[in-house]
Amino acid sequence: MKFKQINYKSAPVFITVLLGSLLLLLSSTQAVADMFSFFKKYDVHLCPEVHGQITLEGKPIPNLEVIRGLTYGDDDELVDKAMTDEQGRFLFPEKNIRSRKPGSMFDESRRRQTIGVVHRGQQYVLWYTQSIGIEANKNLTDKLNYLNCDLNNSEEKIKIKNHEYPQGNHLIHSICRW
Amino acid sequence: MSTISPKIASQLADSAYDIQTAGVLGYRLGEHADDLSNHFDFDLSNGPIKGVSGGFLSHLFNRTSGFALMGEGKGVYKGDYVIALRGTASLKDTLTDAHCGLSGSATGSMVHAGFNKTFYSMKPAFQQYFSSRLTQSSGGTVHCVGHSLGGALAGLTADWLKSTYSLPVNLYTFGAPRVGLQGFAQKTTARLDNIFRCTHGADPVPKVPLWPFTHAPDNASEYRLDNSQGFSPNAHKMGLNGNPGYINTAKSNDWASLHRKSNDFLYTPVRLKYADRINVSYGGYWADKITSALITLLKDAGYYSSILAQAGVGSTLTFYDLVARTLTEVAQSSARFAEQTTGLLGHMLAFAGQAFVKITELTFEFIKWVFDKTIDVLHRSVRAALNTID
Repeated sequence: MKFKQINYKSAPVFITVLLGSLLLLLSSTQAVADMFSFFKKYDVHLCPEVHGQITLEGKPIPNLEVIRGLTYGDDDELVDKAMTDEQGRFLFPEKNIRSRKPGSMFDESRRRQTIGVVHRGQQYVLWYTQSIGIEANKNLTDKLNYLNCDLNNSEEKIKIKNHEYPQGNHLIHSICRW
Repeated sequence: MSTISPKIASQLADSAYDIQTAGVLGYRLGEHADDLSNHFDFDLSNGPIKGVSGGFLSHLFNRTSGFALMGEGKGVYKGDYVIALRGTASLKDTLTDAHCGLSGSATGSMVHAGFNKTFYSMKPAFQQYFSSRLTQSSGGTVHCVGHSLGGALAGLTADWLKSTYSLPVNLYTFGAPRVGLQGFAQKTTARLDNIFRCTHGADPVPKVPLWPFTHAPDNASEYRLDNSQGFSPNAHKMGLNGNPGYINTAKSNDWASLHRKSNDFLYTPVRLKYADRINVSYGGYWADKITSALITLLKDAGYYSSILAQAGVGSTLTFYDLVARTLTEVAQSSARFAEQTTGLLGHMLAFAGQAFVKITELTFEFIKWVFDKTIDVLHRSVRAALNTID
């Protein structure tokens, strides 16, 4: 019982001292600051809202499953699906994730955006591109606002300017035309 | 024998990051696919060559991811091959792990055990790839390219390829760490046809692992692609978003147009005076100069060979323990060496941000403490996280 009494009395003092020294440690030590920045998470933009229409020789293809795959670095690919409506139109929502990766100087994660369909056993690439960074890319967002995809089109490599890093380009693989 | 330009080499090193994982639409190269496909064909139908990096758990579960992009030359590069290897974020721990030891490379020299292990996880795939191709090859050149850890892996791959197949092998690295000890650096420099080692002034990664790890080529020459100083984590980046980013600074079509730098003091004696320590600034220049001063002191006192002989035995930690112990003996042997040791330690303290510490007695404990502080501050530059993205 005596032991218990002492414990109760000294507990508030002990906790105050503990919290105080923890606070001191957290606010003063660079090493601890480095340690915690490892846990810091960043917003990573993976894909803007996507609007598109799928046709074959100009005629809309309804009820076609469109697959979008988004990958950040070596993370697992995030796959979602949409169905085309009577006009062949489809829509994907914007996608953002939180990640610790951008905090590392060794991080070279690329963001991959892929959108494809399978029609009569044939695979078509509506969109395939990779980009660097964590913010939305203006010129990719503009193109993804309307994917005009006729399945008769050939798949082309389209080079457009990188707005965020003007010294570079985006390379898009796509059957779509703008 | 052919050589690829800085531009193509940097595009290859950058593209190696495009192939980490397969997606629903398979593998394709990013921004540079168009430029590179003028010179090389990349068959990604079976995916890239996989490798295992990272710590104990990754090896235990054999977690693999795409590591090497293989290409076959065409046009002016007909008969040539390229291997582009990527780095990894898990490198941080490997590079600054003072307990990390050495292991024997495929060619029998002492190299970093962590890099070597990742290379060995890919070696069978390289063997398979080349055994079926190099027989029918027209005897072209193999170009090994890589950024960061990928540069270290490219070095090990090039060294092994050259010793296994009799054909020209070139090595191109961007911000690569040191791969092995002096023996490896000397042998691989003699073995390989060309080594293009590219750095940024403020990239801390080429400064680790610490001496006795040594860069190849062993004449200390490097292509310095910018004028930055000090240490900055952003200077290590390969991609467009780096500051400056190797992809942005290696745009040249000609190696001769790039700035070739060689720290000549690596081959001339450096003796530091205590009073001059105020000149020290934190960065790659002084990291190299202090290392040279340490080597000079050990040579002057006649301990250099015996110290180097011990380098292959233990870890960085035990090695620098031995160095500190040796310097204690050296300092006690004469007034001249005591002064030279004090000069070195004074510069190390200034480098480590401990310039206010007064040097009174040259005991083992004190010398060891100075080494710990200096190693710690160098390692911290590599561990540093980016708190802001600009």
